[in-house]
Amino acid sequence: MFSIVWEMMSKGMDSFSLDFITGLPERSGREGGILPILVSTFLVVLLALAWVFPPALGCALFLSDYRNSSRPLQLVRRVVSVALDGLTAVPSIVFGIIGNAIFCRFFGFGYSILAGALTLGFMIWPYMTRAFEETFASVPKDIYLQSLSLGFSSYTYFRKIIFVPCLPGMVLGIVLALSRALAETSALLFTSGYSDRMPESLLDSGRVLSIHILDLAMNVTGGDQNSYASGLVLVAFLLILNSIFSGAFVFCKRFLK
Amino acid sequence: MYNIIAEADQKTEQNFDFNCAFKSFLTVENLTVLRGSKKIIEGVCLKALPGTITAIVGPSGVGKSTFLKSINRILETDATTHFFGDIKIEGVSIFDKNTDLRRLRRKVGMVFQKPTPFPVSIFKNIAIPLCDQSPMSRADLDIAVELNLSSVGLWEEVKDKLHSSALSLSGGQQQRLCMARAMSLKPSLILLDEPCSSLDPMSTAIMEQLLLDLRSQTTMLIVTHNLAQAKRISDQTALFWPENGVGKMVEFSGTKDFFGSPSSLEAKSYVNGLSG
Repeated sequence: MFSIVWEMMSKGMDSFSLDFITGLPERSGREGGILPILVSTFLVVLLALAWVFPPALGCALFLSDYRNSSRPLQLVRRVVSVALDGLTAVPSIVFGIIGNAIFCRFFGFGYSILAGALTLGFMIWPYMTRAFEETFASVPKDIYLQSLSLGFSSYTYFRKIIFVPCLPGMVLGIVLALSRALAETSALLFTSGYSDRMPESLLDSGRVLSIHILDLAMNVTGGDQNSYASGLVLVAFLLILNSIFSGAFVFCKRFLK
Repeated sequence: MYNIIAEADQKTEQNFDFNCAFKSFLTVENLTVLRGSKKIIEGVCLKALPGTITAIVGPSGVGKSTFLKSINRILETDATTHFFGDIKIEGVSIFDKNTDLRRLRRKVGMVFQKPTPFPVSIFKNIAIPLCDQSPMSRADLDIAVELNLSSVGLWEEVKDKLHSSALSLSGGQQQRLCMARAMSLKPSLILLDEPCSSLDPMSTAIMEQLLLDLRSQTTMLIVTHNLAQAKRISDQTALFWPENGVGKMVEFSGTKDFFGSPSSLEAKSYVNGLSG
């Protein structure tokens, strides 16, 4: 980890400045800044997190709510569980190709931030669901049985009894999904596209940071230095976000005591 | 088995002056519970009159808790559990197709062995079940919380820290809070699964007095390992005993008779501390 960061710092620090963060890319990214790239990255990742949060949460609740354990329902749970594991095992390039076929072509979104976010959402769905599920499973069985014996609805049990105690674990699940989403390249290559212009709408193509790094390193002669600087931004970005969420995690834990 | 029950009914009715009609409130008919292919309890028959406390005693692992959890059907969260026989509350089978489980569980309160307050404030521990049952105004809720906490003698102790975490209470206070929470829905039957086993003697005494005070409001079934406690507070006592690894009810009679002149060999040796 240190050697990677050191390598990036030694080779990319020269390009790293405030102008680099706030400027527009010039000469295919060899010069200038990465502001549109950062904006696109934010939009893709936040949109993916926003749309996938409710279904991932619902899925986790469905899998961990053993209130009704009839055989047909158990079978459905098993199918959902296998499907989630299957999603984890799918290579990200396959997500990219399928996302391109469904969102870019079938739904006609084209190469766009929206198509990228939708595809990315499916990729991080299982990570989020499994993390949430684990958190719900850590609630003592006694509390579950107590709420069952009081005839609580699933909503009351989740929203009023276990939501707050489970908050730290849910925050960790979001961090996990966020880190996975920020580092994703292949799935977004075919969906959110390459354009390094400032996006004006969600239907505009937008290049995310990881694709920008890949493009500068592989396709743009003389783009190495900015590629390292962009890598540095990505690592810093991940560290800052992780610190914020870890802080939130610690705060929640303390607050809950 | 039915003879035992009829006999017990007679004896209990003679021994106690119930305010309510002499109609069985809870009737368990030949209940057998299987988990997977393993029988946990077999052929349990029991009747409880309204406003009585029935103690269920016996060695560990004979299915006493399984029996209690069958009555509010929370055992069913395990899909491998199967029931045979019937349980009727006020003459209505709880296994009826049309049984609304949430309604049944509100009608049959339960207090567990380990005090388990919800990880929210003391106030919310009482308010959440009430609001889940039916929406209430804040003023009504305040009154209801005070009444319920007072009914278990906890109001004076916690009135200044209602919005503190319920986990900050002592073990005895937590168990009384759980009792108040179970009582808040005005259940007509309360199942108590060794409610005093983790309490000190002082808290146990408070809890026992509480159960005796609540007897006029509800019918209670209490599983206990403490024979002295069963003797002190119950009106009738049932003994569960293992036979070939399966729990069976071998004696069911009025508490005075159970401890004074037990009819089965198992009950005699259990009461005299010779086995179990």
